Amino acid sequence: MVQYCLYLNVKMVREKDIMKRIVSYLGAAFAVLLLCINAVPVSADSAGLSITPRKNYTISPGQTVTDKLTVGNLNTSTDLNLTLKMIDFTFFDQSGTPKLMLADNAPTTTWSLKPFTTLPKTVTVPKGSTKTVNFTITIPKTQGAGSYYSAIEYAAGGNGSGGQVGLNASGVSLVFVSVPGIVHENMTLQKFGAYQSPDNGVTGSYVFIATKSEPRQLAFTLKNSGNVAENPAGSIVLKNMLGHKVTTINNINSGNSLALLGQSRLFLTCIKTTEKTEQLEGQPAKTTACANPGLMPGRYTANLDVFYGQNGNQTKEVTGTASFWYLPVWFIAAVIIIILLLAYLIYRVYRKLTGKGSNGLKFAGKRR
Amino acid sequence: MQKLKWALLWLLPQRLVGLQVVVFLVIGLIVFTQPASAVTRFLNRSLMIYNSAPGATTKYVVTFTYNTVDTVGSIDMLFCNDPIPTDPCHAPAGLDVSHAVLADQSGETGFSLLNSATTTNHLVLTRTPTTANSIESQYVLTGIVNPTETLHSFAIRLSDYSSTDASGSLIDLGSVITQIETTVLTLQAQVPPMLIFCLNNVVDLGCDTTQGLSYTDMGVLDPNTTLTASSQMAIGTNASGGYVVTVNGTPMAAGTHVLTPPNKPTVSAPGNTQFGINLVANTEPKVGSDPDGDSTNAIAAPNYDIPNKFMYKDGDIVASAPNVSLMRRFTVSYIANTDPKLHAGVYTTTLTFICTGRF
Repeated sequence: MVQYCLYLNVKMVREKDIMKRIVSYLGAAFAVLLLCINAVPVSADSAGLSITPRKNYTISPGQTVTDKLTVGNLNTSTDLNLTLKMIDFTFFDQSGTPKLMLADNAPTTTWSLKPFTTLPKTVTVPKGSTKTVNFTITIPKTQGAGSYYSAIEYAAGGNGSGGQVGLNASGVSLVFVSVPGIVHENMTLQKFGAYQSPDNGVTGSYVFIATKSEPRQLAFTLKNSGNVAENPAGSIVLKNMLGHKVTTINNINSGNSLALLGQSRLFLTCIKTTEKTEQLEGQPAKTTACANPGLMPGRYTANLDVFYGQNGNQTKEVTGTASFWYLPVWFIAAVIIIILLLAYLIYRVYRKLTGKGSNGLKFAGKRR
Repeated sequence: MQKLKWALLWLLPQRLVGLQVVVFLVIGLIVFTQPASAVTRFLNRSLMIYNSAPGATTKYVVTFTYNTVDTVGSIDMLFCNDPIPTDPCHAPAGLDVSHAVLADQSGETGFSLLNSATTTNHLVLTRTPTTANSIESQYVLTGIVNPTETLHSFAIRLSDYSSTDASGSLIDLGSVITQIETTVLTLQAQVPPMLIFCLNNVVDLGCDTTQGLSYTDMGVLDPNTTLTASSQMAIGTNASGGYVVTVNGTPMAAGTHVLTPPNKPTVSAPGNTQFGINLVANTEPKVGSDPDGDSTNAIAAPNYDIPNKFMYKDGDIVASAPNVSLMRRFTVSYIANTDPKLHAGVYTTTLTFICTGRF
């Protein structure tokens, strides 16, 4: 358990009623003393864990699947005591951030896996090792086709108690189950275009005219109005203002992102991607980043072609076209300077031809 | 002659305007004219895989409706990761259709497999060229070995031809898409995604060791002084979706008396009731550190990455990474301020930091 106690002893400032203040001081000090004494011995639990962030299953009605959750304790000196709990979630926003329904009295969602899942309540992972936890999902025979999802919370330790600010660490695995059959699928394109993000997609917005820097990402927003979480695939072709192909982005959903039920989901893809394989705790981890695509100033057109469809259902296609301008400040400044120079040149020529130049020359015809 | 010259000169500005109009029209044509393209797609396309386990040998049912009434002698089926017909085709890992058998067909029938065209990811159905009507047709292929890749969808690119060997001009095209999914993950060849998370007073970047006592005495809350403390967390993942960390819990309170947190980033103001956190180095008060670690794509949330400004809101995202991120360490700074009239008591809370994979 991670407990990190902040003891606040509030000083009373009222001038009146000195006795009351003294009593309050003594009471608070006594409480602090008690809490400190109680808090110290419960500090030994580990709060370093490794879990599987996401599980996907296809389970037919009437079928039961038993799988193992692998939980690692990274701490080599203390055991890891975990409390396991199923919680429902929905989407937080247009990104893939889950909004966990943590309240004890949170209503069960229509897509919840909680009624179908059996999970142990606690598990202890010895120091520096991993442990597998069996859990079972049973889909009732009468269950309709579609997507069902919930999350498994691994809460490390217990809550802090009186007189302190306790800090707890929890990890969460997202579990998705697809029940095969005929489902209702409907995705509509809401937005498509260039996307600018200062932090590789964590934050950002669509952009029509990019002036600060060339857009590194393209994005599209799909609204999922069906009863199944969708995992679209497809490509984007980017062309310049002369109609020449700049690039084709083949895998526009490289993160295997999902649009949940009712969600307007933002899908981001790099125009040019750099990849590097590194090590994360001894396992290969392919890190990606959006590189500078090397766009010239001008107007660009992007053509989107997205496919989606569940096994046994119709494959559906969404297409879209978007355009954006890349007009960097230096380019705008250069164009303005050139226009001004041309205007000045034309002015000089005009003045010269009409004899209104500064040198006082008059047009011969007029002199006559 | 002079009159003509005069007239030309008199018209000079107008001529410039005319020239500009012509130039703009030409540019407009270049910029706004899109190349037209017309592609006829098969209608109502679908793919049914009877056993969608990775690597399983199973039956595929391809269904579609011919859109164009024309003479059809062959159907091309190309199995690729990407459904777009014009893109280069990368065969799904593990897929093998070379032993496929055309077990059944309905609608437009009379097809057989063209063995000379068969590869591990390519099939051609051939027949004597006959007019195909716009009817739903179904082709059942058995003996296909599923891809082993479960992380991405794959597609069959369909097209039909008048020729018997899928050569010449295509008539209709279209793709069907699906995904291999696990019932239980048993493949050892794939690197399992993992999410690493640790939290304590002090943690090392790799989460191998954590240090710290269970409490820090912040001292006596005083209207003239800001109380501070800090904790650390380190996170990393090889999952392509990245992660988010949220902070959950009520603000510090003693019964109904709450250290009301600012709901937007606010400077620490001794003498005012405040409880807030941020995840960067601060100078006023001097507490905290900037995130460290190799992966700069993991960042503190915008409201919590402003030095010397603090806020707190239950359920807020405080840190995230949009994709694979190596270990990154965040230092959480806490501040508490009080006004002189704050009700006496021991103010407490429990904050839970929840680290979640993204979908």
